[in-house]
Amino acid sequence: MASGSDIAASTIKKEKQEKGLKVFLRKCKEQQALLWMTVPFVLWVFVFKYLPVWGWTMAFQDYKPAVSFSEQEWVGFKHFLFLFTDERFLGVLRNTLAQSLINLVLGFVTAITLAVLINELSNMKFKRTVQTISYLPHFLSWVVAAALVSSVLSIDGIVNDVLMGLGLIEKEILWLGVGEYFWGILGASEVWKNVGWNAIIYLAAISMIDQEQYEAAKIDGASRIQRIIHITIPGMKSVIVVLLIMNIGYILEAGFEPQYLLGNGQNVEYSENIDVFVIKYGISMFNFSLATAAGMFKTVISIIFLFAANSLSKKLGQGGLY
Amino acid sequence: MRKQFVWLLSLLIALLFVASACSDDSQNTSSDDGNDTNDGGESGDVITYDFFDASGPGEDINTSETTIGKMFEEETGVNFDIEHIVGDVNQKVGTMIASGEYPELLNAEQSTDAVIDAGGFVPLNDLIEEHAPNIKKMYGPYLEYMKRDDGNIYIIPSGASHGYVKPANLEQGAWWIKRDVLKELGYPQPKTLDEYFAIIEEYTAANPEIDGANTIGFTALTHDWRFFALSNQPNHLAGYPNDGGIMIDMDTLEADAYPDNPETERWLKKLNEVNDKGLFDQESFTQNYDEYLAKITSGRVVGFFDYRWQVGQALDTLAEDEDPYNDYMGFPIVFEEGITDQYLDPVGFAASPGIGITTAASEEDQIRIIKFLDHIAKEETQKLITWGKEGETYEIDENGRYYRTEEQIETTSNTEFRDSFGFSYFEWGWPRMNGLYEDGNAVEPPKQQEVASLMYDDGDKEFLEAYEIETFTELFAEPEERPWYPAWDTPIETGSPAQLYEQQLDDLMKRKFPEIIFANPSDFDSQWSDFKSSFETLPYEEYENVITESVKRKVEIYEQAQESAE
Repeated sequence: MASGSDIAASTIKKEKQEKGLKVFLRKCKEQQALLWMTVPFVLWVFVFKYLPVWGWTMAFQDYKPAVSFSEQEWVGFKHFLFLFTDERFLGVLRNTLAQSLINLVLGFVTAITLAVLINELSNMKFKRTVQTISYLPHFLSWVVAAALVSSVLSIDGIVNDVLMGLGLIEKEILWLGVGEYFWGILGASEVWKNVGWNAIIYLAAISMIDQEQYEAAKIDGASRIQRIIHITIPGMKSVIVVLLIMNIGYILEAGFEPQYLLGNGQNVEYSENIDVFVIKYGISMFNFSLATAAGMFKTVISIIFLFAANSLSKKLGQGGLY
Repeated sequence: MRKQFVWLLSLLIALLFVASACSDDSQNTSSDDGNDTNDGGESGDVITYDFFDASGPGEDINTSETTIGKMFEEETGVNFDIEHIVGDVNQKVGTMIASGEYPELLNAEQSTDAVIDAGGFVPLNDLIEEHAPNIKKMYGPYLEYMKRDDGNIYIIPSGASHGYVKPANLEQGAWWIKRDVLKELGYPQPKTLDEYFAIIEEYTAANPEIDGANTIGFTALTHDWRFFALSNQPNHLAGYPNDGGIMIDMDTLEADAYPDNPETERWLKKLNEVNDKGLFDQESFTQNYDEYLAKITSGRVVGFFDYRWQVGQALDTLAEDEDPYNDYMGFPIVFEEGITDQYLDPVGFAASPGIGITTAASEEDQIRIIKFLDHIAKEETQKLITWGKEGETYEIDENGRYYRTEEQIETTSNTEFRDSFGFSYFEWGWPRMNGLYEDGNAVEPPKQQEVASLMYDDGDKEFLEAYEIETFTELFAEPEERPWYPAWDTPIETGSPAQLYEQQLDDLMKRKFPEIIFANPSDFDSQWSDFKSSFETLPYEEYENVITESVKRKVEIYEQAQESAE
């Protein structure tokens, strides 16, 4: 590490002696092949991430499809006003944040725990089996997964059967019919579906840890738990931080499919999030402007969260994304 | 050299992949963009157009692969690649609107208004006038209804009524009870809501379990857009037909949004009471459509309200098995004696949805397509798509009456045959008449007495005899004349307060109805007034005005037509 940064520092000094543009051109020439390779991706980002931003103009219009841009009617902040003054919007925002936070916390804790546990297994066959089984649900479409969840939670479903059999509840509970349970059900379903998949990246991080550290700790008499706490977890820290920052950027993206598919009239006060609200009052009413306004709102909040998380992590000495 | 060759080869392979990914697997006679002509052998040029059908899922097919579709192709030189909806209609059609890329022929179902607003459909007035004498004849009295506010006709709906035939079998709404229940209780005939639930209560008390599973007294379909199967109930109980979310006064023609009416309160109170007795399915508001159908097919349900066409999949399955007692029988239930039920559809004309020609078709294509549609509107073609071919799928007796032998009934109800012959693809959604042909035969075979009576099996006959009726619809009253029927086809402008009302009401009912029904009976009044005050904040008057205006317009057109006929 130390010798590497020495070399880097000396090249920087060298470069400073030459002129900026010249260096740039020389570098470009040197790295010609690499630059050409990035072209398709830069183009991709531009076409799919920057060009659509032009569509934000729709949020300030009463957008009508198939009418040219110059003929659209401009309405200022009308759609934002509708969004923020709707009495349900606060509830919808609350649901989005709550669902997101639950997913975030549960997702991180379970995936990291699973990765650590899998790593501690010594029986390769068992290890692979556990890994395969745990990540398989990730490949199910939410439509299928939601049907499974709702049948497991139905009155004569297995959850009620087991709880009744254990004597934990006196009467079957209609799980999806009670709004208060919805966040928990959603969090648990997300964990079931994605825990194995999310654990993969942590497993990769763990495999990067130098085995000599474990051996040294063993010789020093560290127990298994101590090794996990003092070697495995710190070894994963940088990956955890990067993922956390990226995920916080998606804090308003609590997902759409599970809420839409598992939501119903009885739990709507807890299941309806921004995306579902937008589908109902935007897309399915052909009010594309409202949908765009909601999308803009989400993007702005996401950017704020992303910057906040990044600078916080830098302050805590973990290094940010940039 | 060699290197270049390898590159060329890989490029070719890549192109091949792209090409095969872009083309679909149907073996059409012409290329995919539909406008290209192709020499189709002896019959000259055959042109293939795209038809997107949002009315329901189905197998995608080219019409010429069916028996009658092939005949139409030979006669008109046109065939269609039919693509059916998968998933959400609004989303799919919304994408078409946003991109401006339409198939030449489109049935946009509930998104029809949006396509019209976006200018996706071409006006058909002149096309019909110049090239479609048969459409003009068949839709004669209804052409005025088909005109939008701007005076243009954009879509041709199915079902131009010519005379009324009472259907022999229920196709519309009814309060269903399992036949087993009726048999056990000695064939009672419920007329009022109280009598109906008394039967359910009596049976459920005596039979707490059916085939080892808990008996479900009364279940309801509430999933997604099918919520109206629940929310329409008070309307029917009060003696109104399925006009949607409003009651229309027969004299003043004023539309009244009824969710806050005493009728709705009375109905909810009854359901609340039924729930308190443990007869109301606790999963009514959480089950989806498939779970609902599965539940009914399982035979655990004593009764439910629904429209026959919506619950058809389940009832057909039950009808096809050996046991005639797990079938359901429908009754016309009203609040109290003295109310005339209006469950059967009146002679009406739904001006939307329908098929329209889109801007994707050039002027030449538009003429070809309208000529194809006009060919379908000929009476002889209509007979082909409803009855089939004489000697194969129906017979004519010496009096000119059409009938089907038992064998033909079996053949024509076989799905595979219906697909290959083309019944499945042509009998609805295209220009179609309803009622009676000029020679007095019913348009639809099942409505022809000669066919209907042969269709009943021994199980059906047992119940027909027990209730002393000839057909299952005999219990139902004749529909009264309602020239505006159905009011739900009124176009609602995108972005209008009326449209917002529909969505907000839907949300409100989906949230509050379960609370009201599942409430403790002592809390019913406060729950109801809570709902009522929330309802009053919605722009329901705007919605009523839109409907009233449309109803009055339709009646005016109807009366003018009557006068000119006299």
